[in-house]
Amino acid sequence: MSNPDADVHPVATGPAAELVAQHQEPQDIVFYCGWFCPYAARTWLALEEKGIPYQYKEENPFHKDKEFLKINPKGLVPAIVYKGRALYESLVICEFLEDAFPSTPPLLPKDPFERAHARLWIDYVCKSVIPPFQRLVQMQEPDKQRVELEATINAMRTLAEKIKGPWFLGEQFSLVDIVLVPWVIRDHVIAQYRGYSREAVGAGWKEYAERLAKRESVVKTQSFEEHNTKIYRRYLRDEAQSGLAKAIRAGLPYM
Amino acid sequence: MSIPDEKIHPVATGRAAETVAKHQEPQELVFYAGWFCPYVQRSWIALEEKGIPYQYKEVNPYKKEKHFLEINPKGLVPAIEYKGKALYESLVLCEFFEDAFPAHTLHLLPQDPLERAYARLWIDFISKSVVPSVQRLIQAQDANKQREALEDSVKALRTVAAQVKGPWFLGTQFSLVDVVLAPWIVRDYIITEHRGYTREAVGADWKEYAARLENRDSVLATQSDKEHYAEIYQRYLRDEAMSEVAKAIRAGRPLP
Repeated sequence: MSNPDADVHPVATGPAAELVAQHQEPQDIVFYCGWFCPYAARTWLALEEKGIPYQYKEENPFHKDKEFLKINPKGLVPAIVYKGRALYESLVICEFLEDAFPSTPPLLPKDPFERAHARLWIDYVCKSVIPPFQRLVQMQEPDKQRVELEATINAMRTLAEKIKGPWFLGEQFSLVDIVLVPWVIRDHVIAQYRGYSREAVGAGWKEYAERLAKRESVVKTQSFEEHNTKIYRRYLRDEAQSGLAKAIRAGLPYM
Repeated sequence: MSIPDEKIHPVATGRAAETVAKHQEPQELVFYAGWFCPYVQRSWIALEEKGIPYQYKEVNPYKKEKHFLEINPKGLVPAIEYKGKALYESLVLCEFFEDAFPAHTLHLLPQDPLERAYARLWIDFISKSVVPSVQRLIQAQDANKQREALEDSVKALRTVAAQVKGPWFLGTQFSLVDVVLAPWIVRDYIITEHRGYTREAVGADWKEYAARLENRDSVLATQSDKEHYAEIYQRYLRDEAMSEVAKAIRAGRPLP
């Protein structure tokens, strides 16, 4: 039986489709992406922000294509092939782009302490914001949803209080913003179905979220919203079979 | 009511005590540690390998003293104060040591961007797949859960073992990949004695690599006397431990 999650719209649409069309020439970096994947988005945003040339290849992580498994044995996006060497894990790729392309706009501070501090907040997003957000989407019982809603809002508020503005670190748009963006622009799902609101977070979160959504790289990597709906519905019914959905159900770490 | 985990032996012993004694002078870098904590040991080994001057301060993470909570609101070790500013998270600290002390060798990550990324990939795998399965194995009470967790642990370790170039993970260069594995390797006697694990089950090369790693001087220098760990791991084996890691495993949540 084929995985129903594999039945997602096969290509990027809207602004993202234009961007994909502009990145079909062979380049040193081949970027394997799922247009709908929030983790692949991190790498896509980093590539765009840094202006690094890349060749975009659509790869549905649910298909587990044999050729792709040679690149990433986990069969997950994002992945890149750089000068023949494969790399995966969204944050590992983002750090690689910082190291390998030092003359492009940096997404992490140069100062070692500030850099460590940024990494601490990236870690916070991954450990304290995304898991309750995902659990909130996938939990079916109202009392469990209530717990996760509170946890999500509290974690976002902790971040909100640290935002220097206009971006998390201040003037420099960084990887901290990038790891947040894919969930912030999906927060309409928990607003519509789980009682979330940006206003409930307070401390300037709403304004920050709106700034993130308007960032050029974010707008350019967006597909039409209607193609996401089918995906969200499966997560909302806790029927999604992605690695993320399963990890959430099993209480395991993920990315 | 105080939690039982507070009653652990209060100070490092054995080789670790000697190391602690050598690091009592005030320094720009203050290292807040729990002598028994495997996450602390990652950063501690890194400091020792790199010869970075540090002042060692023992902290009981279950008895959260006010000054320490100001350093790390999570109240967890390891943490540092460097030139008066605080930092925590074992892997963030290890990366910081690489960035902030470029003149202090060993360099524990390759300089080449792709090789560096490759090392980080495996550090990530160890943290996400090896450590949680070993923790689950230690805390599992039910025979089926133990069997499952043992299978997962061996499988994860075999995946790592297959990548070891020898003598160290990356080959001739001792690196953070070895550093993040070491604390769990030196504790694997717990799952050998109580959960049916053997290094041989992972592979013959693994057994050799593990033996090599646990005899590395920086690893030995951060180990306390074995008997003092027993009080701690007995609680984990009965799934009565109250650390954040233990609670996360019980709740089916990602590790802090």
